[in-house]
Amino acid sequence: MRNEEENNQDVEWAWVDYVEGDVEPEMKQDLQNLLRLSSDSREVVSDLHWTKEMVKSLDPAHDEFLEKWDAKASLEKILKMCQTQERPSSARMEASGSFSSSNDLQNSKNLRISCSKYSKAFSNRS
Amino acid sequence: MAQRPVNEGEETLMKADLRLIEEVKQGNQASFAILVERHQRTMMKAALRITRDLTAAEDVVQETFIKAYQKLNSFEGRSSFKSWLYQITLNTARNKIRSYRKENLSIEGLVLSTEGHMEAHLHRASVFEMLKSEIDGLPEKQKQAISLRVFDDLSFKEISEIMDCPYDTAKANYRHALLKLKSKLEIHPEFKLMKDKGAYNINESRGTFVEVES
Repeated sequence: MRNEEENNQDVEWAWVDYVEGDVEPEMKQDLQNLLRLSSDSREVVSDLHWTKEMVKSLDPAHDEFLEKWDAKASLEKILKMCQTQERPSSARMEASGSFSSSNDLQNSKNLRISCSKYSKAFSNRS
Repeated sequence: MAQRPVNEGEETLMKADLRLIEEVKQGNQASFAILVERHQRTMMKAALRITRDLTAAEDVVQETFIKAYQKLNSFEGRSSFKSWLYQITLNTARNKIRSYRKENLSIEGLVLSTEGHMEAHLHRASVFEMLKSEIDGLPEKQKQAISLRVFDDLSFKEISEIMDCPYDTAKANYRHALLKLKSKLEIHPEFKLMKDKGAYNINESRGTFVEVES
């Protein structure tokens, strides 16, 4: 037997899912109907949006902060450090059978184009 | 409950990552450079959220990619490469914080080192101070879920991969966190005031409230 608290929690969770756009179409329709009829529901949804926006504004990793970061220098440092490491071996990987998606990838023409574009860009840069 | 499908763009990126990983394993270093370039900014942000210090976050990101390079063979492709990197970044950042603590370096000091006009604004607005403290006080998993969802805009599928938990658990952690924060805001007089005025909007940067012309 479900108690009132559990039912309330279900309703609250449904509103969170609604705000996140993560509800089944039928449920979405029900919630939208409820929103039209109930000012309390509208208040809940508005509060959830506000809460999310306010949390978002507190992101410690904001873009202005990252402006001080030299991404290119960091990339070069990483690559230099990786050069001293043992390179990953495809033979070992294939033996473990863990890369099952490789066949799918070979069939992807767009992907090949996209990757060659990136590789070319990188060669030009270096 | 419906799981958000991976959109076409994300899928293409995921496949491109897998392709690049294969190329790295064939000895193509340029492909690894592309992987780093693609993900380093996102990982930098994730590291910053934990360390709150630019230099420490940079160290974390470098360590992350070196670990990723070394352990590329253990990447099984069950989750996306991005999720896998996130896991390494978050673990590395947490370890970094632990080692800072061991060296008696004040975490508060690290937080202060990030100060700029953001902090100044926050201190002026008690509602933001309260919210910040409530976020800090959330259980670790809830904090992680809300950070990955709100700051990084990740899907619950990605969050579940990063947190290494079922989809529903990731979502439950997020719901608990958001509802908890909402309930704290609801009873804050300034929050009520902002809402009552109605014509206010949150400035995208730094939690400053600005009046919106109607």
